[in-house]
Amino acid sequence: MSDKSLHNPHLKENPFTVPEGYFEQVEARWMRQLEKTALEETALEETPAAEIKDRPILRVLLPQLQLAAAFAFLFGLGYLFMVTIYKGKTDTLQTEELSILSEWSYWGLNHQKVYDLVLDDFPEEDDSHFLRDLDIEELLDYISYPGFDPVLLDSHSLNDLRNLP
Amino acid sequence: MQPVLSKKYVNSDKELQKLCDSGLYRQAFEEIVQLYSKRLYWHIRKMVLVHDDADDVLQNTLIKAWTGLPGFRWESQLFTWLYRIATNEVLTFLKKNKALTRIPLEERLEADAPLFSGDRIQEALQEAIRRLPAKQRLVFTMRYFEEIRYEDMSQILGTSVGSLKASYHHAFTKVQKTLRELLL
Repeated sequence: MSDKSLHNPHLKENPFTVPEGYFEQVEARWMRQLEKTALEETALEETPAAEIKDRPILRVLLPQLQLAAAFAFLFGLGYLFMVTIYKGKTDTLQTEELSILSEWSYWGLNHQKVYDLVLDDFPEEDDSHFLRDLDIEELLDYISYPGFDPVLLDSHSLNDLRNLP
Repeated sequence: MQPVLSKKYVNSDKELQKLCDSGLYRQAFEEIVQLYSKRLYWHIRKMVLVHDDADDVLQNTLIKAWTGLPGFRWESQLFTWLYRIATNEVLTFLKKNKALTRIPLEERLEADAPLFSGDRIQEALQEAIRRLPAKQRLVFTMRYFEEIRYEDMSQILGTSVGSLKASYHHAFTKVQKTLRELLL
């Protein structure tokens, strides 16, 4: 058999070597690593359950909380902007129905109570008809009636209101 | 021809499976390192040639095996699974370090000189193997040096037995031709 032939058994011999004690080192390195892993696992098992429980929840919720805070901040900024800009304009808009109703809402006035109060003076009237012909000036007269306090409106009955001077 | 798995390995597979089934992965892995690290190292070394590179690839292989062990289903032999991981790591290494394959073997072995004890003909053989494409090199090395059965190679490499036989035949012819040219 020729030396150059791949069938030469000498060619199948391993020509490579390793540093002395290499395989023992590999084993020792891994044993150390696995020992370390085991210690870490034990430490994790000994950690109070509540502590382990809290950590992941906080980690999960933190981005959502941050997002919610950002939204709240933006909403606050927007609200502040609206209040600052529109507060000065309310006087000019007072003649419009919606603005008046908004103004009442601002003072905590119960629309239902005002509605009932007005209807009481027109017992025969049809509700829908009344609503269509609702006169804002008339309503304003009610509001500015001497002794009429829109804040107290909530806590008084209609009869009490009728007895006002 | 020596089969890829001796009885020792087959029996140890059963014991290792029992350990893993009981959740004793650390003990099982200690056994795995003791049983298989040497064979895996030589499989890797014959492909990457230089000891330091083989050591790195072996570490990566063992890390992957350790992290993958809880998911191993024991449907295939443990050794073929480990070989598959090692082979993938070798291919990844060769792909990442393509420049290395262009450096002549002589130069590479010079750096690793104390760890290569081969004579001129053995060095020529390594050079001839180095000139093969990576996958052919794998097939040739596994069959020629490690004498792994085609059926086991098929499991490790995910290739049919027929194409492995053809691939080995081509590689064998090429290596033989190059070896003769190098030793003229």
